[in-house]
Amino acid sequence: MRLHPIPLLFLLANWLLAPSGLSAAEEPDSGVQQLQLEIAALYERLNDWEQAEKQLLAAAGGPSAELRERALEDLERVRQHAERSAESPNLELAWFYERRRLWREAEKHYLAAAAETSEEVRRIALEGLERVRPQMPLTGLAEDLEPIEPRVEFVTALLAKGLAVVAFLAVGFILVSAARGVIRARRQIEVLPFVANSSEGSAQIDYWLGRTRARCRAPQPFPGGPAAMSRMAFPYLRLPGLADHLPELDEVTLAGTKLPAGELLRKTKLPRVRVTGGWVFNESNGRVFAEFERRKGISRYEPVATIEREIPAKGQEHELELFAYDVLIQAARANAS
Amino acid sequence: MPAKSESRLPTNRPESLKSFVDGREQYYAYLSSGRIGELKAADRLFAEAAAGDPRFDLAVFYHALTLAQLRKADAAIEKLQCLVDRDVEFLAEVYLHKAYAHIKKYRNEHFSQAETALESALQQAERRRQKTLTAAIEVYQVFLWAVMGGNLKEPREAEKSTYIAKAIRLGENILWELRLQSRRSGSTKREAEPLLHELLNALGIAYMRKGEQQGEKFSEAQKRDWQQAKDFFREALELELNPVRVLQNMGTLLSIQGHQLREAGQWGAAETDYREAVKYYEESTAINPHDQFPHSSLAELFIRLGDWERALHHVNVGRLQPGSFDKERKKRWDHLRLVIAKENPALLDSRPDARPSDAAASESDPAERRRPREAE
Repeated sequence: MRLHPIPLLFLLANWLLAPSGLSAAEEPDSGVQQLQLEIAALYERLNDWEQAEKQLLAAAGGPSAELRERALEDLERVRQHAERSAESPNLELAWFYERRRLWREAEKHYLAAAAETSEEVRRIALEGLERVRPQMPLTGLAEDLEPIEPRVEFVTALLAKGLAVVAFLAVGFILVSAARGVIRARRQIEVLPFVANSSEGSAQIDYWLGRTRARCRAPQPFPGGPAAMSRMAFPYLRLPGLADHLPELDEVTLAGTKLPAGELLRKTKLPRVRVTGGWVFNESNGRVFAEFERRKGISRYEPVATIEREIPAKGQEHELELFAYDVLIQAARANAS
Repeated sequence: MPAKSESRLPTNRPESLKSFVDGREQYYAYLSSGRIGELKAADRLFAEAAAGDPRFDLAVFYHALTLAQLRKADAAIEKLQCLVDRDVEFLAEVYLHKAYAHIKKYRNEHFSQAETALESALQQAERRRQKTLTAAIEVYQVFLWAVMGGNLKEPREAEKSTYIAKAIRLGENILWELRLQSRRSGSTKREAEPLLHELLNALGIAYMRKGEQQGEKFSEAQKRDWQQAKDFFREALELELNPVRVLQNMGTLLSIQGHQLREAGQWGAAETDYREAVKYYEESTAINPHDQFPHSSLAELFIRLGDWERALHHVNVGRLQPGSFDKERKKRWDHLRLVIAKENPALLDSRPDARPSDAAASESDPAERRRPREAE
């Protein structure tokens, strides 16, 4: 059993602080004897019976008869304690842990001792619990965390792996979306902004194209009715100003190599049919035209049709609507060609 | 129809396509509202579209639909047969609506042709795996059988009860399935509502005829059947789709009930039913006055109620409207005028062609002569 530092400090303090002059009634060695008794009492409080017994034996051999007698009484009590503790391994262990400030372990063994049959053991155990428990809140937390640490590590590792999978799926999703977007775009008919001699004229063309397309694609309102209307469906016609559904990609790094994904997307998402045109008008008359180009191969376009129409100022809306229908018809033809 | 490789749109003429799209909007609006103005506009626009491009099959098809709705069943049948001969892509729909046009003729030979057309429609739909269309064809089958159950003439008159039973059996099966679907999804899908509306109307007709043909008048079974018919009609009206046909059928049911009560000498109760029937018919003519049937029914009801002025009004207005009376039309209206002129309701029962659609029906059974047909 190692020597506890507190009794040593106590001994040193007594030695330093002891008065230099001794009284006539006290012999010089009785001070040491007194100190030995006090150290023994300290060891006893700490349940270190072996050390306490050593100190008491030393004190029992001292010069003062009174102190010797007291030392012998204490010795008897300490031995009884030691014997009882030897009977209870739980108490022994509880003291062992208490001395090492392992409060939770000490508490556990005190609790076990408190359930034993010996009344003395139970009393000592309860005293021990009273000492140990006030020490626990701060140190208990640290002890509690100790077994969790490996679990935390496991969960963290799992989360990291999960995040990696999610990131991988997200990248996969973006790439698949991009590929699908490209395929869809390559099947589209795209109407590029019409050139007109005013922004209002260009907007009018857009309006009539949009309206006509929407009316042609109107869903049939009842089943079993003229379901043949589905034959009116034709590839998606993308009007000017509509947002691109392709994902935003700039550069993708793959195995250390930077790929210009955004640029690649822009170059490959070419529509199947491209419609361009213009409208020139004045107060009394106007003329509108459209050209239809069909993609050949990956990126080459060939003109396949052109339409023109007079748009008189009178009945302008009717003629523009008819022109929009004509654009739809020719675009669908170009797409199917 | 232009070849597939040439174009996915059904015509290459913008004017025809515009007329067609405009007409379709009008037609769909009519299907929801029942307003005749929209139907007539649709008819004109489809005719223009088809005239602009004679190969515009879809325009011809829709034109035939509007003609059938306008009670020009012969013209509709002719156009639909033309599409059958052209072997168009949407044959199943063509057969389905050809069957409907035949039903509107209310004659034995046309009923047979309607049955054949529905069979062809079903074959075409199954071949193309058009499930929704198959369901619609079955609903029209219920409607056909329900109509046959009330309108078959000699020598097939004895088959009426068989057709009513078939209509009820198939109709209730479909209804059960529709209700199951709507329970699963929490509500009836909007696109399924027109189908449900058609089915409820057909089942109402079937139960109305079943009750009418019960051997014992005023029996519990008859009451049950007629109550069931009313429940189906009311449920159909709650769907808030084109209510014209259902309103007229409700009027017909109340008229039948009124006739039975009158014959049993319970004039007070009969009068109540007649007045109730008038309300339903008038509601239908407020939406669509361009049909002979509700006017002739109203004229008869007002004759029964002794309101000669209003009876004459409906004779004068009704005789100018389209309808399915064909050759008997003039005789029918002339007879109503005669009854009004003599102010003698009893004369209604004395004429062999008292019933508009049953002019050639049995002359020996007065109750049979009084029985009105269903609206549609």
